[in-house]
Amino acid sequence: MTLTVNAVEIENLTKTFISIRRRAIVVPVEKKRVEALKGISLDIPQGKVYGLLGPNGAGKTTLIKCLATLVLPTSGTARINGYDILRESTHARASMGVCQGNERSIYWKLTARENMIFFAKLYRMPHNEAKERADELLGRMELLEKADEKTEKLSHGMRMKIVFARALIHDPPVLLFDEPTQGLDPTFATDLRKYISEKLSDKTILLTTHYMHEADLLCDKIALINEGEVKSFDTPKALKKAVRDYDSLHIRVEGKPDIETIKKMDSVMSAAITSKDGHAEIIATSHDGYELAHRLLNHLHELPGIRVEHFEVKEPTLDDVFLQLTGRRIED
Amino acid sequence: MNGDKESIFQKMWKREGLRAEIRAINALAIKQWKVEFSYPLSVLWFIVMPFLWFIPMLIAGNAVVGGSESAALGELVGTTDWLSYIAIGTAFTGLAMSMFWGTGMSFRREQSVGTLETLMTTPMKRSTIVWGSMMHNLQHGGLGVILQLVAAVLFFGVTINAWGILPALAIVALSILALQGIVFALTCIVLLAKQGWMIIEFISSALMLVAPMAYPIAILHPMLQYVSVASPLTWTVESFRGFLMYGFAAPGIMTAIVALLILDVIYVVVGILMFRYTERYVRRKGALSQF
Amino acid sequence: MTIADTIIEETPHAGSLYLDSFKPRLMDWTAARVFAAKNLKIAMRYPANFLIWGVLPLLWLAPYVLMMTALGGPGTSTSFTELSGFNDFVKFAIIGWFVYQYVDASIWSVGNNFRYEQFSGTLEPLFVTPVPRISILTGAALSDSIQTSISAIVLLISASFLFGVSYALTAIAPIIVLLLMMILALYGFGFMVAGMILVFKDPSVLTQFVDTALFTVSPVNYPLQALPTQARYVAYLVPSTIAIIVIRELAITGVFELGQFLSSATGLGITILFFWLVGIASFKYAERWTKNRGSMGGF
Repeated sequence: MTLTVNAVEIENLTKTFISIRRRAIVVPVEKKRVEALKGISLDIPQGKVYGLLGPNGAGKTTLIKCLATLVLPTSGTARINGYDILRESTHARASMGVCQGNERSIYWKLTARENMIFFAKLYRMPHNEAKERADELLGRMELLEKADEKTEKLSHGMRMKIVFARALIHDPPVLLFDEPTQGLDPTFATDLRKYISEKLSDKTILLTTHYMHEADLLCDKIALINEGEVKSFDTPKALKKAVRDYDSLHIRVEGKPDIETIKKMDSVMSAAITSKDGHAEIIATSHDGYELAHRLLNHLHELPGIRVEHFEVKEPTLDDVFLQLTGRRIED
Repeated sequence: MNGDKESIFQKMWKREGLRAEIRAINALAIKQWKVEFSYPLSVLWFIVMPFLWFIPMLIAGNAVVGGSESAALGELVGTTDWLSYIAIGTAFTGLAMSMFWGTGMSFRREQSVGTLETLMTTPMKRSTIVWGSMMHNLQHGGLGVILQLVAAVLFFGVTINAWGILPALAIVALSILALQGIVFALTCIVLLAKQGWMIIEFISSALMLVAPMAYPIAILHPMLQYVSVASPLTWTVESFRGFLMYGFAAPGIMTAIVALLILDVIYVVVGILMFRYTERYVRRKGALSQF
Repeated sequence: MTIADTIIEETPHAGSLYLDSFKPRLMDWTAARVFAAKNLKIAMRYPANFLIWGVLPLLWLAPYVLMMTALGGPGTSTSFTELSGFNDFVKFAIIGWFVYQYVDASIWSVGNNFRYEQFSGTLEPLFVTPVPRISILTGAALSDSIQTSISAIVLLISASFLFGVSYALTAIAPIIVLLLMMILALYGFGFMVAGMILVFKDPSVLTQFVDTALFTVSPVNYPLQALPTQARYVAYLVPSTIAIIVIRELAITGVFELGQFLSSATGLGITILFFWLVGIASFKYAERWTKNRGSMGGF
C-alpha cells in the first residue's frame, strides 16, 4: 500500500461530453458539446471529509464518476490512495468505496445478506469471511432482522442503508458518496449523517450533496461548484464568515414579483427568486437586513397581485455564500 | 476500532490475482442463478425448453422421412439414424443459445436498472464480469444439454456411445474460448446499440443457420458453407456429435480439434480487444448507466 | 395538464366541457388509433427494425427447410406426400410460416408492448386515463398487425425466391378475407397473453413457452396428420390452425370452392367470438389481480 499525505488528489480534471445527433442519414451530424468539468483540482488529506456543494447539473456527479473510474476524463487525472485512476484503475477501485444515492445499485431480487456477500466476494473475500463481514455491517445498520428478505420488499430507507453498507464492505480508506441522503426520510438521513461523522472518522470522504446543512455538519472543507468549476473552497466556517457581514432576507409571497427590480434596489448585494405553484420565495442579501426588509416589504406591498405571506431575516448560510458567488441558488 | 477493520482492507489487498478473479467469477455466476430463480416461470421453462425446441423438428423430420432410417441423410453423412443425428446436434443449441443470449441480456438488464455501475466500481477486472456471466450460462446451458440428451435417450430411443461422453465434454471445453470471443463481441453490441437484442438475435440465428445442428453443411449454399467453416459452432457440433455417436471411432476429429484451436485464438483475441475498446468508449461517453 | 389531472382536480359536479361530454365507453376507437399511431412512430425511430423484420423470420425458417431436405431428399418425399397430400414440402412450409408470423406477433408483440410501457414507466400513466384498457390493447395489436404484415410479406417473397417456389394468386381475395378474420381472432388471443404478462411479469420465458407450444401443434412445417391424435385437438384451440390449412390450400392449388370457404369462415367466426370473450375476460381478471397486489409498475 502506498502511503501519501493526500488520500485523494485531483489534478486539473476536465470532462467534455460530445453528443452527436443525426437528424436523418443524409444530413450532416450535429455536435453538441457539454463541458461538465472545466479543470477541477482538489487535494484531500487523509481522514478528512470534503464536500462538493452545488445545484443539479453543476458537475458533482460527473466528478464522482470520474474518480470512481466509471467515466473517463477528457484531460487531467486523479489519484486515489496514491493510485492513478487512469493507469492503475484496479488499485484505485480497490482503495475506495462508492455509494451512489441510487437504490437501484443493488440487486432487488437478492436479499440484503445475499447482496452483501456477493459484493464482498467481488472484493476478493472468501465465503465465510464475506458472511461475517456482511452480518457485521448489516448489524451496524440495524438490518439483521431483515437480512433474509428480498431487497424489493424493503422500504426505500432500508435499501439505501444496504447501498451505503455495501460501499463499506472492504473497509476502504477512501469513500465517495454521491448524494447519500437524497430522498431519505429525515430520521434515516440523520442516522446516516451521524454514522458518517462518528464511525467513519478515520476515512477520507468526498461527498456531494445539495443539502447545505449536511455539508455544514459533516465536512471539514467545502468546494462550491457551479457549471463545472470550483467557485470557492474553504471550511464551512470560513465560507460563512465571508458573508457574515451580511444578513439574508427570506420573503415568501403569493404571485411572482420582478426580481430584476429588486436587484437594482439600494443596498441589495444579491437577490434570487424561486417560484412554485403561484408562490415565490425571494432571498436577498444586504448589510442591514432589517432596513432592507422595511423597504422591500413596502415595495412588494405596492405591486398588484403580490401578497407577502412570510418574512424572516437570517444569519448567512452556505446557500447565501453560493448565491453571493454565482447568483444561483443551490436548490434551483 | 482500527485493529481488525484495517485488516479486512489489507487482506483484500494481498489477495489480488487470478484466484480473486475466479472467486468473483463464481460469485457472479451464483448471483445470476439467484436472480433467475426469483422468477418462478423461468424454472419451469428451463426444464421443458430443451424438449420443446426439439419436438417440432422431430415431427417435421418424421413427416418427411416416414420411418427411423433416412436414406437421404445416409448419402450425405454416412448414417441413416436421423433421430440421433438431429437430437445430439440440436442438444448443443441450448448451450450455444444460452451463451449468446445470457451475457448480453444480463448486461442490458444491469445497465438499465443501475447495478452495472456498482459492479464497475469493484476492483475486479472489467472483463471478469463477462467471464462470470459466461460461467453462469455455461452451467445453465450445460444442464440443458444434459436434460435434452437424457430425454432423447429415454423417450425417443436415441443411443449414445458412452465412451464418447468424456471426449465430447473435452470438445465443449475446447470451444468455450471461441464462443466466449463471440460473446464478448455481442456484449459490445449490447453496450453500444439501443436495440442490441435484435442484432444478437440476428447474429445468433445466422450462426445457428450455418451450424450443422440438424443437417450437414453440405446442404447449404456454397457461399454459406464458407461462413460455416469459419464458425466455431460447426466444428464443435460435428465433433461433439461424432464422439457421442461413434465414440473414439468418430471421423474427422483431428481436423476439428486443430480448427477449433485456431478459431479459439482468433475469436478470443478479437473479442477481448473489441470489449476493451468498447468499455473505454462507453466510459468516455459516460453511458454506463443511462439508456 | 393531462386529462387525468383534470379529473382528479375537479369535483364530480363542477362540470367542464370535457367532463360533460364524457361518457364511459366499452370501446374507444380514437384512443386505439392514437395508440397504434404512437407505436408505429416509435417503431420507425428504431431503424434496425426494418432490417430485422425482413431477415429474421427467414433465418428461423431456413433451418427447417434445410433439415427436411437433408432428411427427406430435395423438395419432395413419398412419406410427406402420403401424409399431407402435397408434393413439395418446401412450398408447403413457406406459406405456413407466412401465416404463422401473425401468431408469433400476437404472442410476442402485445406482451412486449406492455413490457415496454412497464419498463419506460408509462404503463401506469396510461392506465389512469379514462380509456378502456381494451382500446389500448387493440391499438397495440393494430400497429403490430401492420408491422407483421410487412415482415410476413417480405418473408414470403424472399423465401419463395430463395427456395425457388411460387404460389397461385387466383384465390387472393378469399385468402385476404380469411387472413383478416384470423388476425381478428388472434387479437383476442393476444389480450389473453397480455393478461398473463401482467400477472407473471417475465414475458421472455412465458411467451417463449407459449410460442414454442403453439408452434409445435400448428401445421406450419408439417400437416396436422403428423401429430399424435390428442395433439390434433389441441391444434384447433389455436386460432390460426383453420386459417393456415385453408390459406395454404388456396395458395398452392389456386382453386376456390365456395362451400369450403364458407365452412372455414364460419369456423373462424366462432373462433373470433370465443377468443375475444376469453381474452377480454382473462385480461380483466389479470388487471384486477395486479391492482389488488399493487404490482403494476414493478419489475
